[in-house]
Amino acid sequence: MKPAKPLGKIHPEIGLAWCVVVLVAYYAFTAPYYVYKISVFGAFLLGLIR
Amino acid sequence: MVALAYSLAVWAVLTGIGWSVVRRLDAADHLSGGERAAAASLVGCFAIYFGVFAIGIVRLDGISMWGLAAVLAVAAVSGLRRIPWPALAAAARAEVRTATGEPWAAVLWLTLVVVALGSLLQGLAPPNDYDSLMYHLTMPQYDVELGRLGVAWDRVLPHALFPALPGNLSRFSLVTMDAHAAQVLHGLIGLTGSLGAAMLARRLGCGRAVQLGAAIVFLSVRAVIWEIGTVEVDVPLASFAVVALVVYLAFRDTDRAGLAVLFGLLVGGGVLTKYHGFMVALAFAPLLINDLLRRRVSWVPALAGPAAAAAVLVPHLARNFLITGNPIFPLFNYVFNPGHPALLDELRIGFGTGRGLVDLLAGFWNLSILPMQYFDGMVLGAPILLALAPLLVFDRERRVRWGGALSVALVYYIEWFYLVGQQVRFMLPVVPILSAMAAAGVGAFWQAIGGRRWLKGAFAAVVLVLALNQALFVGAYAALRLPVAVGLMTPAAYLDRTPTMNNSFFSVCRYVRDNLRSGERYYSLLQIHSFYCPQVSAVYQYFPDEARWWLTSRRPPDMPISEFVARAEKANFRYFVISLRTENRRNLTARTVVAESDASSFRFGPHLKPVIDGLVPLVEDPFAAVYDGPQVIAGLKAALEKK
Repeated sequence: MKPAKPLGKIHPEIGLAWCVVVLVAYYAFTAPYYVYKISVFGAFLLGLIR
Repeated sequence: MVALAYSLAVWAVLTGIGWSVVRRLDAADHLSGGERAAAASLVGCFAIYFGVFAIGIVRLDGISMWGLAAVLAVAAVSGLRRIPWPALAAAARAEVRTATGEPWAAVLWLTLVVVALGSLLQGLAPPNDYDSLMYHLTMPQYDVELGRLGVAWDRVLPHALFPALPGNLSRFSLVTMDAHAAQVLHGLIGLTGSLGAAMLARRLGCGRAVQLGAAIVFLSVRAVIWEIGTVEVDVPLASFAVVALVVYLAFRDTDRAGLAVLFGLLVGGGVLTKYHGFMVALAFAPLLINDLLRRRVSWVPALAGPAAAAAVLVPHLARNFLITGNPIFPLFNYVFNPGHPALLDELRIGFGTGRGLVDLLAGFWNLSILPMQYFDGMVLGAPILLALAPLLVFDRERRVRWGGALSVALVYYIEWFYLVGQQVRFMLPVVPILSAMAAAGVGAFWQAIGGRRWLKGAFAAVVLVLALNQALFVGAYAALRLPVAVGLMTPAAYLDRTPTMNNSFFSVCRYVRDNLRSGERYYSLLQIHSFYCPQVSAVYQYFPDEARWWLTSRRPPDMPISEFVARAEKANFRYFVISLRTENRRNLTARTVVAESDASSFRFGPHLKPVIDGLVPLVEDPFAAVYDGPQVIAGLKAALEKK
C-alpha cells in the first residue's frame, strides 16, 4: 500500500482522538455488562474445573 | 467429527456445482480465484435449496435426500475438475512463504485460521440458541418427521413461510446426517462472508494485511461468532450480500452480462436466506442507477441482474401465494389479504432511540456505544467498526473507490432505520463492508501517522484494546461450545449448564422423546416448542382444526374447558408439557431475570394451573415440566364436576 498523505486539515491526532473518544464512551456505558459477564463466566469456568 | 467431514464434503460438492455456473458467467476471468470460489460455493447452495423444494413436496426422507445427494455429487464432478488445483496449491505455498518471512502476515494468518477453525468446530455443539430452537431447526425437524414439506400452523409462527434457502440446507442435513452438519454448513457460509470481506478489500486495491484484517474483523464481531456455530441466518445473508457487492464491482468495471447475472443470483440467494435480503437488493439500487446514468454500465446487462434475482425467487413466492394468498408472507399481509392482521409488526418497535433525524444521524454511534440501553444487547462487541472505519478518510488515494460499497452500506442503514425493527443483528448484511473499511482504515491511518512514534504507540494501544476485547468474546464462545463439540462434555450437561434464553428444554423434551410410543400424542404449552421435543406428535396449544386462526384474526379462538377436556380425552394425550418459568435479559448487564409463568398467559392456564399444582411432575427442569396426561385430564374432569 502506498503511503497516504494527511488529508488537508485532518491531522492524525484527530483520528486518534476519535478512537479514544469512542473507546472511553463505550466502556463508560457498558462497564456493568462486562463486570457481570466476567463474573458469570468465571463461575462457569470454575464449575467446569470442579 | 463425522458431521464435520460430511459437511466439508457437501460444501465441496456445492462449490463444484457452483464453479461450473460461475465459470460460464465469468468466461473472461474477470473474477479472481478467491472471488470465484466465494461466489461458486454460495451459488452451489441453490442446488440443495431447489432440490429439497421440489422433492420435499412429495417426500422428505432418507431415500429422497440421499438420492438428491448422489445426483448433486455427480453434477459436481465437472466443476471440481475445472478448479485450478495446481494454481491454488501454488498460491497457498506462496502465502506460507510470505508468512514465514513477514511476522505480521504470520500473526494475521494464524489469527484468522484459529478464529475460523474455532468458529467452524463450534457448529458441532448441540443447538442451543433461541431462534434455532424456536424455528430455524424446529420447522425443518417438523418436516422431517412429517416426511414432506409442511407447515406447523399450531406454532403460530409466520416464520414457517419465511425464505428457506438455509432452512432447506437444514432439512437436507437433518435427513442425511444431523443438526451438527446443518450448523457446520451454515458456518461454512459464514466463513464465505469473511472471504467476501477480504475480496472486497482486495478489489478496492488493499494489500494482503488489510484483506486478512477484514476477514478477521468480520469473524470476530460478537454476533458473527455467536451465530456462525448455529443455523441462524443473519450471517449467511451477510455472506451473500458482500459477495454480491464484490461481483457487482467487477461488473461495473467490465459491463459483462454474465457478471450481472451472477450478481443477481447472489442477491436472489440473499432474499431466499432472509427477507432482509430485499433491503440488500434495494440498497444496490442507487449505485446501479448512478452507474446507468453515468453510462458506466449498459441497460441490458444491468437489467439482467434484477431479472436473475427475480427468477430464483419465483418458486418461493408462488408457494407462499398458493398457501396464504400473499407471495411475500407475512410481509405486508394486510395489503395482500385485506382485513387480515398485520403480522410481525410488533417487532418494529421495542428497539432503538427513536426514528427522528437526530436518531438517524446518531444511530451508528448509539448502536455501538449504547447496545444494552436501547438495542438487542451486546451484538457487535467492542466498537471496532465505529472507531476504525472512519479512519479510511486518511487514505486520500483510495477512499473514492469505496464510494460504491459505502453507498450500499448507507442505504441499507437508512432502510434498517426506518423500515424494520432496529435490532443490531439485522445490520449484519453490511458488517462485512464495514469490516473491510475498518481494516483499510487501520492501514490508511498507520501510513498517515508516518514516523511519529508516540502516535503510533497510542494507536497501537487502541487497536490492542479493541482486539483483546473481541478476543474475549471469541474465547468465551470457544470455551462454552468447544468442550462439548470435541466430546469433553455430554450434550445433556452442556445444554443443562449453558445459558440460553428460556432454556433449551432439553431434559423435558428428551423424556418425551424417549417415552412417547408410536402413534401417541402429547399436549405442549412450552414457550417455545423446542427443537428437542417431538414435533408432529405434539398438539401445541391449538388443535389442527383451529390452528390457522392467526392468519385471519388477532384474537385466539375460544374453547370451553369442557370441550378441551373432551378433546384431550379423545386424543388420549400421554403427556402435558408446560412452561413453569420464563426469563428476560433485556437489562443493562444482560443479567438473567427469571419469573414464574403467569397462568393466564398460556391457553387453559387458569384451569391447568390448579391441577398441575397438585401433581408430581414426571420430569422437571428449571423452566418446564412434564406431567402425566391421564392424571391431568382426570384432574380437569374432577374440577369440572365440582363446578
